[in-house]
Amino acid sequence: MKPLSPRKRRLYLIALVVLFFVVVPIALLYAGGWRYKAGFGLVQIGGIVVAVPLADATVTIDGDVIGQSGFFDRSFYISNLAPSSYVVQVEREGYYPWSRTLVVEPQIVTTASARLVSKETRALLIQQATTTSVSSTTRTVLAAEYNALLEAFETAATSSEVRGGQLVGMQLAVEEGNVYLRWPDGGRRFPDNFCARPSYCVDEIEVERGRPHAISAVFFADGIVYATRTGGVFFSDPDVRPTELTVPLYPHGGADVRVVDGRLIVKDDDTLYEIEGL
Amino acid sequence: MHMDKNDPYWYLHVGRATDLEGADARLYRLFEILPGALSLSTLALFVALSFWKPVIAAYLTIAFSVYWVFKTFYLSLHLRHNFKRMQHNMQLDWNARLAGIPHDHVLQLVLFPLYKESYEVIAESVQGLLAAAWDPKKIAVVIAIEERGGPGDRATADRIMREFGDKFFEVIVSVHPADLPGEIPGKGSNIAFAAEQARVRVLDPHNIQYENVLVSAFDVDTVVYPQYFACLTWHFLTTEKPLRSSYQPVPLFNNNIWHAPVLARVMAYSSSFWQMIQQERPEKLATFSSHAVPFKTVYEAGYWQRNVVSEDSRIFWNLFARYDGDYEVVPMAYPVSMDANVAPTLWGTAKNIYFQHRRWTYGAENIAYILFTTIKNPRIPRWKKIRAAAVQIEGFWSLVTHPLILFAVGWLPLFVGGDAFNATVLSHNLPFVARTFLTCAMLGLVISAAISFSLIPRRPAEYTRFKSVVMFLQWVLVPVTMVVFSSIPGLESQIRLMFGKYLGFWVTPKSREFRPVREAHV
Repeated sequence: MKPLSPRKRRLYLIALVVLFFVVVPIALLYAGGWRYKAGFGLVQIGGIVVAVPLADATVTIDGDVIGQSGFFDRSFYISNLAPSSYVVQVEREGYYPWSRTLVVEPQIVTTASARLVSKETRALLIQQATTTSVSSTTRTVLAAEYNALLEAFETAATSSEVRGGQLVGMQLAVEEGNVYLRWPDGGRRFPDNFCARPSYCVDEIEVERGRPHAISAVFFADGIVYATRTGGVFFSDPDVRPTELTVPLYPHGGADVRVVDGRLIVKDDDTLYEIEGL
Repeated sequence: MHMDKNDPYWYLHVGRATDLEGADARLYRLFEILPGALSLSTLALFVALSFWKPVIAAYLTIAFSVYWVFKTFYLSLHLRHNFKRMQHNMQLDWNARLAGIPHDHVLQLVLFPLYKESYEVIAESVQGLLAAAWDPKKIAVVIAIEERGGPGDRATADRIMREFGDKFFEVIVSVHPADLPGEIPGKGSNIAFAAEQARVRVLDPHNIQYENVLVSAFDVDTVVYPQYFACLTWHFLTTEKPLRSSYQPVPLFNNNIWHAPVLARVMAYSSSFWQMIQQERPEKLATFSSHAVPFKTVYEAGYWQRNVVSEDSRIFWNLFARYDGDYEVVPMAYPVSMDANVAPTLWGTAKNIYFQHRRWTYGAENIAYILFTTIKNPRIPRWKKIRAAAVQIEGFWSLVTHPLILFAVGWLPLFVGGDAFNATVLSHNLPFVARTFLTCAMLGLVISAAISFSLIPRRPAEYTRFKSVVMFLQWVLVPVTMVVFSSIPGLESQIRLMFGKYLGFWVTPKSREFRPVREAHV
């Protein structure tokens, strides 16, 4: 049996070199976001990445189901999207539906992080006692701790900056009864929620404006919790892109809110509550 | 090192830049730096692009993945053909093919370099010679031991002499003195000394013509398959230029394959497969490990080089230069069996494999030699010079850079490309597209797995079928082994050459705590 003949080897080589030069441009164009659309020729596409915080959530785009999040699959890359705007929705039983209108631009991936807020949040009454305990409606704490919680409300909560989490680097401000979220660092890439579309970002989001009048705002659970004079306490997932998610947490106007030791505390007159389930 | 510049081939045994003086030394040094400089600058360029031009780096990674698919496909065509040819050659009766060709005058001279290996290792190899379908009275054996090997090696060699001395044409023991000037300890200096001993003590006393002697330069664990000598002689007697050719069998690292851990098996077969591929590309083939060469040819060239690590491939380039480019390797497509690299522990095996591959990839030292000798030898045709240098440079460059780019550096843009790059469709598509092509390339491993399955000896009774399944699945480790045991030792070798930190010869430890199984059921 003879070795592979030089002629055969040359033929193989030429065929594979030709194939290489055919496949490489196709692969590069595909990877770079070019697609062939009948009638339009080569068009540039974009994509959307949605991060989902929990398993068993259903992701849809313009009403079409993309998939369901799992224990490990918490990120969905929706590719091959023509430049346009799309409504992405994330739903999970027992949680408020999260929805955003996302603009897709050519060769760019628009990103968003879904925030799922439980419908089962509740306010636990905090009481002083000689021992600590928790029941379904009340939490008893020692006097020292109770006093520390009260003290937290002696300082105004009208501005703060986040040091960790998804909102790191953002500044929160309550000015003339309105709540603003700002991105002060113009040198760094804007967070997704500051960008109406990938190529257009703003440095300020109005979290709450007009009536009701806001009195305080704090960062909590990768969102913002603010208290108003007349409407009560709300959680907001601030985003310049519609539709912003706002969830009522405590319904009585005039209540104030603080974060103490990682807990969300509401003060209504002289009564303290802890908001759970957020 | 003394070199007589009146000798037209004065440069033939240059080992490194320090063997030369003046402008020659500087030129050789430059050539030593070349392979490392090429590999490092390629990797550095890729890293720099990943930081500053991640889009270009990503496109290059994808193009490279496509290239890899077609390259592996192209190589697998060669592998498959060589496998079929080897199957065919192993079924042939080569003695019958020799029937019409006068061949009684051919003497086989077999060199077994021995350094601290056990009696069992070399006895197995010598018994293999007796079991071959070739008259042992036409085989001369040299047990080439080292003076520094001590009385243990001497006792082993003497025992072999006692037990096998009368079964062959001659069995002699050569003792290579320690610390001879101009030499480094290693296989090259040992077998060069042994070959000269054979000339003085065997060939000349029997008035044997040098052109009728075929030298098989084996490792101590090389076990021949039954038709090896007949197949070798047939190729020698039928090739166009028998004295201008070396003869290369396929090295199968089969002796202990069932006892070897998974890493050793993958590396063993990967090495064999590479040689099988090269057998179908003789223009790129240099001698490797166990090989054969006419005595007259190697004698005229001054035997194997005594001052290099990679004497097995260097002898080809010595002869290429000595015969003005009129020299080639004849691929036999017939196997010899050797030991896979195995140590008592997995970590020990991994270390041994690393050291062995560092020694093999130190063959990059041949690049400087090839460039230097082709400049000094104007009689070598220009196209042969260019091809020889280009093949070797590309070979060692791709050995180091390709696996690192495909499985490590190529993915760097995803991590260091910055926010702007990470927001692009390209950034999100890079893993998907590159992975798709690499997966296609890995399908070529299915062919490798199938072929390896045909090459392994029968499963010993002590192992269950599970071990056979693992033998098949082991190929998923290839991306790791390519990086850890090819690229990285290759890069270390080239960096050592680059900085003049020359490597010494490292003897692969061989043990026999098992009963060798060598027959491949091809």
